[in-house]
Amino acid sequence: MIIKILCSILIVLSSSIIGYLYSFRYLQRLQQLKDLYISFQLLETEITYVATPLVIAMEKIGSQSNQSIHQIFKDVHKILSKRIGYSVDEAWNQAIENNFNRTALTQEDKEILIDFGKNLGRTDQENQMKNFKWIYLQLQKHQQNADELKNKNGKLCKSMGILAGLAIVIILI
Amino acid sequence: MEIQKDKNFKNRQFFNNGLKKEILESLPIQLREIFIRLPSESIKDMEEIRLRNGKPLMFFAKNQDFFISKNSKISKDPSQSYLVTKEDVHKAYELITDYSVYALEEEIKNGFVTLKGGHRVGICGTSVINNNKIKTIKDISGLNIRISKQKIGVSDHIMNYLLDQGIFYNTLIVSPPQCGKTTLLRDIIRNLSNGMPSLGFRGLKIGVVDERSEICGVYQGIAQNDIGIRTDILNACPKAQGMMMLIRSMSPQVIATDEIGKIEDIYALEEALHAGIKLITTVHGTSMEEIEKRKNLEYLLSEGIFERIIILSNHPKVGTIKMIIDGTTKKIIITYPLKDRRNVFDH
Repeated sequence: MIIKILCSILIVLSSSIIGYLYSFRYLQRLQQLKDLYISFQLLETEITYVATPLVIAMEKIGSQSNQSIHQIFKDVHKILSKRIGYSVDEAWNQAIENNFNRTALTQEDKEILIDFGKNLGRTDQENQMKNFKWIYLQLQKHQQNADELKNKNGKLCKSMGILAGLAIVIILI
Repeated sequence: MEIQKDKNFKNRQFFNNGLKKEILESLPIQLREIFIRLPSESIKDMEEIRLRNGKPLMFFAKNQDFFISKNSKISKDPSQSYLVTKEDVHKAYELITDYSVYALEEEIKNGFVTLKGGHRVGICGTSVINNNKIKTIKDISGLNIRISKQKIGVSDHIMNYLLDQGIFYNTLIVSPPQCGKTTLLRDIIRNLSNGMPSLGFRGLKIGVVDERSEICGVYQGIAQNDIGIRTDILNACPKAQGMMMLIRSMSPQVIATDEIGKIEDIYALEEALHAGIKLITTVHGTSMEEIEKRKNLEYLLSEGIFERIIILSNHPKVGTIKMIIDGTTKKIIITYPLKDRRNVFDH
C-alpha cells in the first residue's frame, strides 16, 4: 500500500514538473524578448550617437547583454572580425542560426531578427534609426503575444501537468 | 544558405606577393583570389585598383592602366579581362566601410574613405541631395582604391634647402596631380617633426590640417603614416577653420596643409603668418608662371611670402623635383638633377 502511495505521488510530481518546464519556456521567451529589446537599445546608442564601427559595437553589446542572448552578438563579432568575406546579414543570420536552439525564441521571432539584419550597418544614421524603430515595434508586439501565451498556455501547461499525473494515478489504481 | 569563404586567405603566406593585407581584406573574395595570384613585380608598382560596375577589372601603374583576367593574367587588352559585377562592388563597399556606413557619413559625403594603412578609396555612385547638400551616396557604381605608399626619406636630400640654421622657410610645393606632392609633403613634415641630426636641426612642433585624410591617413584616430613625433593632426577638418583652431590650441611652430586655393584658406594662412608660424603647403600647377596667374595665389607670391617653392614633375619618374625656387628673389636654387644653381647666378 505504501509503495502504491509513493508511486502515485512520484507520478503526479514528475508530470507536474514536466508541466512546469513547458510553462517555463513561455516565461523564458518573454524574458529573452525583453533582453533583446535592451540589447538593441544599447546597439542603437552605439550606432546612432557614438558611431562605433559595427564590429566593435557588436563586441561591446555582446559583453553587456544578458547571458541568454549575448552569444548572438559575440558570434557576429567573431565572424566579422576575421574578415573572411562574410557580409553583415550573412554573419547575423549565421549567428542567429548557431544560437537559436539555445533560446526559447519562436520561428516568428527569428524572422524579425533576420529582417533586422538585412539593413544593419548598410545605411546612414537616419535609416539605421528607422531600422531600430521598426525592430522595437516588432519586439513589443511579440512581447505582448508572448505575455498572452504565457498567461494562457503557461497556466494551462501547469494545470495539465498536475491533472495528467492525477489521471494516470487514477487509471493505474 | 551557402556562404562562400575565403579559402586562400588562410594560406596567404604561400601567395605572398606583397599586396598589402589591408587592401586584400577590403576586396570581395572572388577578387581576392585574382589578386592573390598576381605576380609581385606588378603589385609593386600598383597605384590604383579600379572597380566599376560591369566594366573590366583594372589597375593603374607607371602612368598607364592594365587589365586583369580571371586567371590573374595581366594584359593591355580589355576583352580578356574579368568583368567586375555589381555584387563585387557592393561587397567591396561593405568591406571598405567596415560594415558601418553610418560611422563614415562625413567621409562618404566627401567621396572617399580611408582604410587601415592610410590607403584611400574614392567612391562614385548616385548622390542623395537634401537642402542643397550631399546627404549620402547610394547605388555605388565605382570604387578607386588608391594604394598609399609612404616613401620615407624622399625629402632628406632637399631639407638643407628648406632650412636655415634651424629656421624653416615658408614652403610651397607646386605639382600636377599624381606627381607625389602629398608624399613629399608628408616626408618633409616627418623630417621637420623628428628633426635632422645630420643638419643639426632639432625638430619643430607641427600642426597638420588634414582635410582629406590624405597626409596622415588617420584611421580610427591613429595616423597610419609616419609623420614624426612632434606632429599634431586635425583630421578631416576644413583647412581655414583648422588652421585657426591649431593656432589657438596647439601652439604650432609650423602649420602644414594640402592643396590651398580658396580665398578663406589664404586669409587663414595670413593669420598664421601674423602669429609668427611658418607654413608648408601644396598647390596644383605645373610651373611658376602658371600659378602666378591664379587670382588667390597672386598676392601671396608677389609678396614673397613663400620663401621656397618646390616644383615637381613626373618626368623622368613620379616625384621628380624639377626645381626649387627662392620665392623672395625669384631665383632658381636648384634644378633637376639637384644641381645647385645659386653660385651660377651669383657670378
